[in-house]
Amino acid sequence: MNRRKFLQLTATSTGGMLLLPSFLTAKNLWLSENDISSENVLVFIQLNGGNDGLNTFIPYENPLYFENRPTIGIEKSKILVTKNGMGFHPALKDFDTILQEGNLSVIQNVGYPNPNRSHFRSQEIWQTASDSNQFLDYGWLGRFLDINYKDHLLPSLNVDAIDNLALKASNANGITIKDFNKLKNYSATSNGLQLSDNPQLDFVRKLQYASLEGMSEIEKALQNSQNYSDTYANNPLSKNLEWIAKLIKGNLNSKVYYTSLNGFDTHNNQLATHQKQLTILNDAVYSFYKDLKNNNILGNVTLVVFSEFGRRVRENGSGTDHGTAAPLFIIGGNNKGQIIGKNPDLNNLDKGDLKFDIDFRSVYATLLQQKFNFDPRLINIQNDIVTGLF
Amino acid sequence: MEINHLNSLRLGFSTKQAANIQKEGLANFISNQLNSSHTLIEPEFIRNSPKNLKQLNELKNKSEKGGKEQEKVAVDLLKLSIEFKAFIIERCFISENPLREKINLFFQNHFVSTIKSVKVPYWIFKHYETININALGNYKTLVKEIVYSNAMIKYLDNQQNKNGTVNENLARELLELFTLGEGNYTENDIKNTALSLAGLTFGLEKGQYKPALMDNSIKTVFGKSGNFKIDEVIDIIFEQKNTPYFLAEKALKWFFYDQPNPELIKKYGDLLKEYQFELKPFFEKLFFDECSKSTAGTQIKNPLIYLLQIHHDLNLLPNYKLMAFFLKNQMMDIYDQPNVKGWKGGRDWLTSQIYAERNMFIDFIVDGNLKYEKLLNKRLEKFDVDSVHFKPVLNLKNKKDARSILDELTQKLIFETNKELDDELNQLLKYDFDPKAENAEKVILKVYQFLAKTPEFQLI
Repeated sequence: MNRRKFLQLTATSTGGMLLLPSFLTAKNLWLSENDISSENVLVFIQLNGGNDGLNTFIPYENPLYFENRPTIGIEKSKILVTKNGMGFHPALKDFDTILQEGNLSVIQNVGYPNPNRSHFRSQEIWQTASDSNQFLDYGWLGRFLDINYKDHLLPSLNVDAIDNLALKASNANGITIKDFNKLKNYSATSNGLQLSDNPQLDFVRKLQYASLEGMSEIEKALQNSQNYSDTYANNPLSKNLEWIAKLIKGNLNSKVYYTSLNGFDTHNNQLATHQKQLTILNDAVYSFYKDLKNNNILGNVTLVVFSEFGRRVRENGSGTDHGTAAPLFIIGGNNKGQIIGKNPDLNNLDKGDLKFDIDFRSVYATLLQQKFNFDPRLINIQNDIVTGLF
Repeated sequence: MEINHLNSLRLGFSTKQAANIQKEGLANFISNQLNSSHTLIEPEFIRNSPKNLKQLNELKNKSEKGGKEQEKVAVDLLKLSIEFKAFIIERCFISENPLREKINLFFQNHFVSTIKSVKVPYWIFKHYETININALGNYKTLVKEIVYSNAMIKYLDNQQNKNGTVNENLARELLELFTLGEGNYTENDIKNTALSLAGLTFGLEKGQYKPALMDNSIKTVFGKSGNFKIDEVIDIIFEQKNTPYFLAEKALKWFFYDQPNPELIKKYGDLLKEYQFELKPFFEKLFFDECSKSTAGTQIKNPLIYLLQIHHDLNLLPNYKLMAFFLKNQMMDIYDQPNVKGWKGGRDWLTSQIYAERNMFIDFIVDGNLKYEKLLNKRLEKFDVDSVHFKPVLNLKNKKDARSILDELTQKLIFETNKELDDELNQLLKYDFDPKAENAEKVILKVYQFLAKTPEFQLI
């Protein structure tokens, strides 16, 4: 029995006057669940710009790494050593912690055949799970939600300035919320607040928030949500993840959450920029992780961190050019905490770029199959699943 | 927003005229629009419809015996009303002189008379014809003509206004809504104006006094006394102080500003008085002076402009009946205002519900949406509206790269941009976007879709 049905039944048996006993908080309901597939949630963080995989999860024992990157290579002594000659960028200290706690898996050399080095196009490929020469109108998650959660009120929620193609569906209506902090300002109760010097524009901006379908469900979930005493790190990604966590804890019942972080297109001044962006990522993810763990829902929430491509092996000036394969990170969702796949092969390159080992669609197939019991072939993903992940 | 596009929206219903405004120059464009012969030909469906209440009732009574047929008559009349709305929308969309249609609609909303209440389609058509003929003539003449229109007599019940049983409805609105505005007359003025209207009832092409029903007493209106007919009362109304300012304020609201500056109301009211209520020079000055200013974002876009602008931009095949339904949902039911005050405009144009429907509509056009499509087709099947399907095509001048595409679209679509919006657009269409890619058209449409949903697009 899934939780919804359970609630419905309880509701009818008490004549519609259902008051939830306090011990039946969301947390307890989660735990009492047998069929976890109905309660699994995916959360995606898309790193925009092409995150440099080689400086994120670093093959520090390979001399070719330092040979190719005399300027921007990370000093060996600073690398956070894990296993098999691989280690984290120092900014990712808490990724290391999560790995040690057994809740993070790294999938190495993820990419796809005939890689495209345009940000725009490569993101499209990742978001639609298409071949590199194929153009699809709907996103891979959108197609999945269309089949599995067709009449679900809010099957997906994107916390970003723009809609995400991955969630685009022909039927399932997910929504995009730009900035939850603005909800407070724009909600009906805050009349008279001046946001700009144009009162008509302010008026319409407020309406824009109120006009989103499902807004009342979101507000309800935010009210239901139990507080988490620790504060989240102070950066925009962290704020987005905090909102997402609140909604999950408040039982919004969306299946997929999506958000992104810009700033990974490090053609110049990579050392400083990358350090800064990875710190944001690390702090945000760790806050989110601790929150989920404290609330005993880490097993139900699978966080996926990826980028549209990695970067060229050899540095170029103070930065790197667009590349291909890169590591992908999975946190929570009862993953096995393994480093999956071979270390990057710096000897055997394709025009200076890494060759991929694991197709990103295999990762998608694994998520759909093992988290939702959904056959990925139904949305035309034919790739085998990644073994040893969950 | 590029100024000619902005002015095309202000002086019409879309950005279609931007190129002409640029080519002819603002002054010439306005003058050409105002001096064009703007013909109105009686459409086929009006020619074959009931010409007066008697014919309408005959039609209804004839069918009363069989229930089925009666229903058919009712549906036919409803279809006729949709056809008339579609007719008006079509004129707005295809006209080479959209400014004239915009002025016509301004007066239709000033001298409200609705299909729902008047019921005789021919009378409604004549109401529009009266406006079309007089909208650039003299305001005083226009008011006189309107008061004599069968539609207005019916809408404000003046057929019930007879010697002995006075009905003040038309008299009240003549003072309150057509000329002076609240607070600029006394109850006594209304009473006496109503007396002068007694006996004015339906006629063949326009209303006429029935001598037996007239009131022949001496009336006193605004201090002047005589056995006035309504024409003389209107002459007196036009000597009153507030008449020009009342119209000037409404014109400023309809064409430019939700909250017009009092100095502007005074300026254009003074002008209207100076021009002795001649409307053409008044409008010419109003349009030229205000369109020469680049201040934008001062008016919430009405649903008609929203709709026609998108149809023009995306080269959509117009389905005018569908548009009529959309406008009804958006609370701009053409020729069927909710009450005699007309559409209030401004913030009344937008609620969260209306905004959500606008966004659903644009999503439907660009993405297609099975749920919405089913819903629409189901609602429309009764009314001979063809099935609904859109094929959006966006023509851009310069598709060189992401930057040029974004520049052209923002210049064309939204009254201003800001840092936040620019960042979002750059995320949506990244600098390395390939305009020659197989799906490039679709991607560019997504940018249009995004922009059409912004708050900025909802303003002019």
